[in-house]
Amino acid sequence: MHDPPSAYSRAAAQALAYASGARELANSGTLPLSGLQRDVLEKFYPLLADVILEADLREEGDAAGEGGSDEKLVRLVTGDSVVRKVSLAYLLQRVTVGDLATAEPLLAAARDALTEETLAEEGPFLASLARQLAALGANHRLAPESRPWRMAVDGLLLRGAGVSMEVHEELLQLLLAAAAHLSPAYLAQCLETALHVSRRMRKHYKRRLGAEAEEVPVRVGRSSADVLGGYSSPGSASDGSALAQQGRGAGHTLRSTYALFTKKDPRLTEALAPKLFAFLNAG
Amino acid sequence: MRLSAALASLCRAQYAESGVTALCSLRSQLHLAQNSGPTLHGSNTPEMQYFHRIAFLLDVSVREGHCDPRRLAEIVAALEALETAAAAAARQIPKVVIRKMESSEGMVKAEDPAVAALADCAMALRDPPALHLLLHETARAAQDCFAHGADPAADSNP
Repeated sequence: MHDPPSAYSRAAAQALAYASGARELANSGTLPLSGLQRDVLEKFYPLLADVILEADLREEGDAAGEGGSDEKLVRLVTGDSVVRKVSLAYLLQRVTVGDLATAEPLLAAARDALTEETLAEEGPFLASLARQLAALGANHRLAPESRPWRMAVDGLLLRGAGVSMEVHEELLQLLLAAAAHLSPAYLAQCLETALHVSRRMRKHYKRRLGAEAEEVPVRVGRSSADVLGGYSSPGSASDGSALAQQGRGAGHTLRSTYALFTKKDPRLTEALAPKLFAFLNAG
Repeated sequence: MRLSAALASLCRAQYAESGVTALCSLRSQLHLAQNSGPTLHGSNTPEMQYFHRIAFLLDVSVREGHCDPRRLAEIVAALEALETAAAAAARQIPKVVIRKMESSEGMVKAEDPAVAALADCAMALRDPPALHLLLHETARAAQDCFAHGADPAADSNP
């Protein structure tokens, strides 16, 4: 399986090396290219080939692995941004087609290799991962609380719940779809972790929306016909306040999503998740 | 022409400072908005021709959601040509540095065109849609190469 990578992979690695060095290049005009490229081509692909091979062997009836990660793979994914991006893209592709035997070791490696800083750059990846997991769950191809599921949720998604609003919402949707199959204690723990991790992001988001919401009515508030050059229908005077409400509503959307959990699942009691209830009651 | 060069320079400097990838999108979209079509007309430098080719090919690929080996080979060939030119420039002037904005009023334009164009190309590649397309295609190529036992030798001689 240690084939030389195809010409396409070689060319793509070169282009990706430029992409990952773009900031460096714009900054100083120099690019440490050769090292990066060699890592992808000579070290990462053989390791990836091993992962695929092992997954194939495991599928043939052997007991599944213990959920640990390959040390060499972790080191490579930690150290090189091109390798990291390629491995995450590959992981996502495997999850999308439902090939969890291959995805699992890569998930384990990603869990161990992504630091808080690198995780923060991978918002779109995390959101897509949550979406794909939810899709697999909807097709009954992946049981909630199975090992890959736990690995992705505990190891990546909960940690990254504060990266962006998108990740947070996708995570909540994933948990909501799986709620019936999760133990109440675990679900409560997930929700409280998500709240805790995302507190800074939520505050930031709220402040930004608040600022926008305040701006809009001021502009439209005073006799709108003059401001808009007589081009306004009676309806448009309320446009501003509708927008403002939407702005304020975004905070509520998140809260109402959280409220769905308690509504849907009566096992989720205040004793089990005091912080969740405190958050819900604060609104 | 001077205006677009100044804008390009500003994009690079801002991106170098902030690392916001939206500036990469802005750089290539600004260029493509001014110059549509597969080739660049007018009195443009060879460096700009390379950059235009890369930006155009990436844009078309993103639109189609697919980057075939021929396009990728052309992109890499343009990158290599620019890299050679930049290396030659670096030999002539010992320290080639893209200068950042010195003050808010004016910019210092002491950029080597090849180095600047190389930075532009890297930014066009860093543009999120382009980057994700390339990553996706790379992952697919790896899958074809390793998992399905496809012959990599056949793939390397298109």
